[in-house]
Amino acid sequence: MAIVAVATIVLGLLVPLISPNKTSNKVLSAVLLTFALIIIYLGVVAFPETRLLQLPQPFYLGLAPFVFRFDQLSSIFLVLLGTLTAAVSLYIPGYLKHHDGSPKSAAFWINLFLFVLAMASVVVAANALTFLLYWELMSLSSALLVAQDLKTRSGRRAAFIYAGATRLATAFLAVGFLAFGNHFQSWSFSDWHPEEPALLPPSILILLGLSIKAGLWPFHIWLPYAHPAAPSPVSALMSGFMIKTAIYAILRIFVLDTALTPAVALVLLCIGAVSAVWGSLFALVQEDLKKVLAYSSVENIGLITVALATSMYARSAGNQALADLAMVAAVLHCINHGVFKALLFLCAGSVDIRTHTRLLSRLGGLGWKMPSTMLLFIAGCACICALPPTNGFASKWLIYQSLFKSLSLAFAPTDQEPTSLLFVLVIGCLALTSGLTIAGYTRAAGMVFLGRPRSGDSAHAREADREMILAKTILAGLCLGLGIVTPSLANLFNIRLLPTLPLPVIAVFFLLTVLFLYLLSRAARERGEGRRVDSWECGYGSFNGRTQISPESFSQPVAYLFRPILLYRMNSDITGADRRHFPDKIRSETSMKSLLETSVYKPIVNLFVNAGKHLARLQAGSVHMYLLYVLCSLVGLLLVGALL
Amino acid sequence: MTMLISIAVFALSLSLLPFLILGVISSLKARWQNRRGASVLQPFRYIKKLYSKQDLSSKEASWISDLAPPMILASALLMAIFTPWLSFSPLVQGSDLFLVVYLFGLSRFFTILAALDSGSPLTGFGASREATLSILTEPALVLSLLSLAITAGSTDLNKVFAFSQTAAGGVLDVAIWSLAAATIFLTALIDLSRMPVDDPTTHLELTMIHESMVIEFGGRRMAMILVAYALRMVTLLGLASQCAIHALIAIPALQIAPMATIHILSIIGILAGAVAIALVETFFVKLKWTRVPEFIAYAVTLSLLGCGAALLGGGI
Repeated sequence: MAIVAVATIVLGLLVPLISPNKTSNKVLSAVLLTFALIIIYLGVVAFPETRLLQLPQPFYLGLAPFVFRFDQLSSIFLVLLGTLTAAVSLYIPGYLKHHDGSPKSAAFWINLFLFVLAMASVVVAANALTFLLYWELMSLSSALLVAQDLKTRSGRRAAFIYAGATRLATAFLAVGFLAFGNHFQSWSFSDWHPEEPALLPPSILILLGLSIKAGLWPFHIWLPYAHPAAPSPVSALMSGFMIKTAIYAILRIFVLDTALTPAVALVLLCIGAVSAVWGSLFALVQEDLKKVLAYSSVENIGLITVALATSMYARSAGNQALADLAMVAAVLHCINHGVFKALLFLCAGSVDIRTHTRLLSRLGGLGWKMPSTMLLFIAGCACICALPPTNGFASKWLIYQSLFKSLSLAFAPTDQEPTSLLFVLVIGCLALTSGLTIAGYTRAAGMVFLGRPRSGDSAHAREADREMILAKTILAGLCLGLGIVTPSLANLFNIRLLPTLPLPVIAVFFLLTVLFLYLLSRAARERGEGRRVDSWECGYGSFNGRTQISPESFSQPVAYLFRPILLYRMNSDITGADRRHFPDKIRSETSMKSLLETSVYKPIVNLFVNAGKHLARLQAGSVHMYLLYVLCSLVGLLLVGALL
Repeated sequence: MTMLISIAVFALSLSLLPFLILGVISSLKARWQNRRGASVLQPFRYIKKLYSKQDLSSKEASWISDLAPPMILASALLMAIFTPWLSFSPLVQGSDLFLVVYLFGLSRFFTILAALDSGSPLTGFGASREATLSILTEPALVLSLLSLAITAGSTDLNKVFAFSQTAAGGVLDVAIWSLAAATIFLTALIDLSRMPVDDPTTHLELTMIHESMVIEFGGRRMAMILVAYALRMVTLLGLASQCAIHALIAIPALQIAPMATIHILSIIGILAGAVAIALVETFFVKLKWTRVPEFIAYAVTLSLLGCGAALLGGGI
């Protein structure tokens, strides 16, 4: 099986290399689909029993061999990756046909194959060096995929910011791994037990590196730049799976068998809760459809981190059952979020190629032109808003349950109340998040698909290709199916802490409602009812595309409420003789930035730029100065040598 | 046998109480505003009239406008079944706290989408306001129910609202239950768009929240939305009155109340909630829209206090 996998990937890499512009995208996507199915197969085979795979002698990483380990955790992630890749491979030909950047398709395909290969290898790597190698491959290939459009300023900026984030993440990871490898005299993950207090600094470094990759607050800023720049199928993979590889690594190194100090768990808990609120708040006020989705990935990674931190905390308190419950909640939310976020990104991609815009203020009324995409997008929205009985609700409910159960954890009688209160506040934050998510996604769906077109772009759109619809339908079906089975999946992991959840009953109830509705409307149509009239316009004459609620005005009350964080400002200028009742001209202008970027990242960037400017004076261009530098450094070194 | 009787009584009150509450509120308001007003049975007649009227829909409306009313009604019904808003509601499995809260979310999701569907700015602004309010009320509702769940040690609402465990009542229990009652009542005022937040009877669509969202609906679909609204109202008021009853019987002097008294009290409690709403709507004016978040902040603070009290009580 491994040989087949290798053969497929080699084929996938060679075909575009040998005949760059001749091979049709369909052939390549078929190769990718095969590869995806092999990944799923490997995952399914490896689930019941753990397998170790070591490459023979010539493949050696200097300090450690190439070792891959297929166990239950890896196989869950492999199946998720395979499913997403399969859907994406069905989707890509239709997407590339209408996309503008087709001349570079050979590079695109090679990077895509490397990207999928690297992601699959990251989740089965058994030692730190193998992991780091494929982690780098994953970062570089995804950075190249993001850097598709270097002609525009925003494209260059996105590529630069994303590449910078990956470098920083790898730097932290490498230092942490080196310290761990030194301490344990082994590179294998199974030998690492980071619960010793002396290992806290390297653990924190590794966690920092991983949280940059995952896009946790306050390191999330690369997500809203990278996703709009990347092609939609790549965004689907990046948001659906790549950011979860960091979660996988946290699970593998810090959660599975070990217990860090509770302080780290509590800090992670707070960061997760802040990410959830921050991401959903910013998703609500974005203009670009893909930025909405990018920020909501921040939110969901926050939710997953909350579950992970709960698991860590419970493990260090010695409550293994609760730790398992929280871990299962985190893994299931990874899977569910992967599926519905990929679905939403693919829908956003269809909208993008059919209308050539992603700005909510230029879209609208697409439901008439793209009915299937609308149905699938709204299904995805329902999942991400965690409406019962979808899969989003099932895993979010597990997270809530694990938080609720951890209210009873206590280390010492003295410190019980403060931490319990912290968990209560986190539950409150999650409730706030769910309100924000519902507002954000009803806004996105409403502005894109409902109402009237806001510009000519969306007035002349057509439905996406059939294969693209098929890919999205598979994902949407998975969402609903996972919703029904998620509570029983939790039981698969021997979790007996949970109350029962009547999701199937609710699903049947809603199905009956829809059926009832269909029969009613058919009866009404047979009677000839259902007249269509203009919307109520207060007697001012009929509406056009501009007299609708705009995306900005929809989120204005929330933006106003959270104005300290969003730095929201509105300047209105009303002129005219009797300004109050009969103004001649009303001009209104709003501005919005992020508190984090303006007051934390910008000063840091400015500091570096200024320091660079001053340091540049050293490079004067005169030989005399350089000779002086040589003399100074020589004297300095001699002095240091003499002192030591 | 008792199970059958309880189901029958529950079904009867589920089909009568919601509309009676609406009638009581409007006729009391009319009385206090020196008008004759309609009879208490007016909502029944109104829904019957709506049901037989011809259905008009907007030219922009897609299938969302057809799907939303039944979904809203279905989720309201599920909420009414899963929430123990009456002391004699039949015990169903899985009446989970978070499930109930997210069923609220479901009906909100479809209400907002349906409002955006017609492309009218009036419904759009209503949707925007509803979304804003729901963001703020969600934590209040979750935390207030959570404070009760902490005391009961379970998120199963049937266990939370069961009448067995309030026997060991103390000052703290009274405080927790009455804080929860107050929070849920405030949340009900906001969620149902009642007076200090929203005036359902003004003449200007732009100033309203809930009524302006459903302005494009008529006939059968409006009837469904109205029924769902009445169900939501009776569920929330019922929850608040259940909390109040628990607070009452946690007072040591009133502890040994027979179940029959509690059953009667739980219906009286809902009616008292309706009277309170009518009182508020008679004597207070609507808050300015920018002041509403402050009002909601009270609800959130009360619910946090409740949680703190529950943790102090060493619950869970």
